[in-house]
Amino acid sequence: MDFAILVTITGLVVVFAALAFLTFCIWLMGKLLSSLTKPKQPAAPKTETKPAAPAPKAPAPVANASAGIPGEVVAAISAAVASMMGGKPFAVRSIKRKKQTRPAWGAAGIVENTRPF
Amino acid sequence: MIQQALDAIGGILTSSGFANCSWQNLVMIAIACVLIYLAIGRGFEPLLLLPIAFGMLLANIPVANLNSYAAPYIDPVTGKEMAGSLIYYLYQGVKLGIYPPLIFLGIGCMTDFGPLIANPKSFLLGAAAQGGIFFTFIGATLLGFTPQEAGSIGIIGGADGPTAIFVTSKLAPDLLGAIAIAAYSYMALVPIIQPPIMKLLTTKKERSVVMETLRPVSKLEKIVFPIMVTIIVSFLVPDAAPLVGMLMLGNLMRESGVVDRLAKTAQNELMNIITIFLGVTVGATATAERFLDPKTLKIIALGLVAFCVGTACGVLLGKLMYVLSKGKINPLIGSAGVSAVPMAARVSQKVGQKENPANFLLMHAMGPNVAGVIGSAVAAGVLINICK
Repeated sequence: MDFAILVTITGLVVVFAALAFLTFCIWLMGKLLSSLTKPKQPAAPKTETKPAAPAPKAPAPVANASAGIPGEVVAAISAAVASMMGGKPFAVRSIKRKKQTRPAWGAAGIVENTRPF
Repeated sequence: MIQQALDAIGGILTSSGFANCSWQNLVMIAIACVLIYLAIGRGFEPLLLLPIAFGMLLANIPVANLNSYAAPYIDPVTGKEMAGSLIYYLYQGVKLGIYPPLIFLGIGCMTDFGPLIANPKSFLLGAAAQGGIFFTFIGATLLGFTPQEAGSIGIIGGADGPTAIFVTSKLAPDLLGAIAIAAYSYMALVPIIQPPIMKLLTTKKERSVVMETLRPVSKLEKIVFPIMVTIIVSFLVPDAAPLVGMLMLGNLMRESGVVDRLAKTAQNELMNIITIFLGVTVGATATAERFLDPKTLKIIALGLVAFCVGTACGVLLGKLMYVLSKGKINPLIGSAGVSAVPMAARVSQKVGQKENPANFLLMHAMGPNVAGVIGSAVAAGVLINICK
């Protein structure tokens, strides 16, 4: 019985100590990594004069781009481009439908046959 | 000529299972059939319970000698060395502690530790829920189990099948069948076992707490996390290194994004193959002479106690954190600390949403849930170290 109590106390203490230490380390890692990446973020507003141009530019091209295209479609295309660009700055200047060179059924057939690869 | 044929038929009949069957074999086959029904008809952890139950069925077929203990032997009549059973050879992966860490490799590939990295305090909830393991250890000792057996029974409270099998194969291999069946059955019953305990220990106000949105976690943090956890845990508790090391290797393969092919294999084909081997061979340890023992009933009862106490410990620490954070933490996420990923987190979400339909606790509960996996691996290391 004494051994059982000893195991229980030792077990709980070790598990708590290990996970509390991990809590501290992960918290510290979060702080360190965010402080390492932070200087880049304030740098952006500092150079505001430079990239200020693309920022206001964005709405203007979108206005052009959205000519005749519903706003939701522009938003969805911009989101898809943003996800592919992986955070790099970009501007949507125009949105044009790609010329359909292949009939729809032909395109569907090619997609079906090439999907496994 | 006819006499010879009759003798041959007689010989086949006397050496058949029908002539050599005992009532214990029949009871075990009936239990195996019930477990097969639970897996197929009721969907109780079918991926593991089905092979376990079928392994149990195979092990109890008379004469066929298809259990995990049928080792090679020297035939006393011919003096020839006879091979062990198919299952005996597959069982070596359990006996030598190979399969559970490989399963952990696949689990690592499937697990997103993001919620835990975003809220590291979840680690403490994962630790508290391991209380069930250690308090059940005392109960098992009081009921007359040896420390090795008590450790193996307690680990059922970790709600982590591979960990339970890993510890039991090292400490009390004779109990493997009963412990694996208890662990997987209770894991399937988490949505029934946990909610009453969670409701009993919390107030309506506590259950309604809406938690703040978790911060986004960078890719770099997700890559550093598995390396850091492996080093820290393996240095602190080297006996937990096989489980934690493989879990984190799988996670690093997932998060690094450079070995997608390996990650896909580890979480699909490899894991499925190991699951089949593990399930069948663990089931085949449940032979009549080992399983039909009053000990089995005690193990099943103690396993339930371990689950309930683990849940209660998690919720109670959740309550403490609720008080210390001035009402910012919903104590319901504490119950998810018992591993059983992702079922236990889903239970926290469901119980929380009953009080406040607009409350989404799932992501918050995933933190303690995956911390529970690490916590139970650490607890396993401690038990192996002290009890072996």
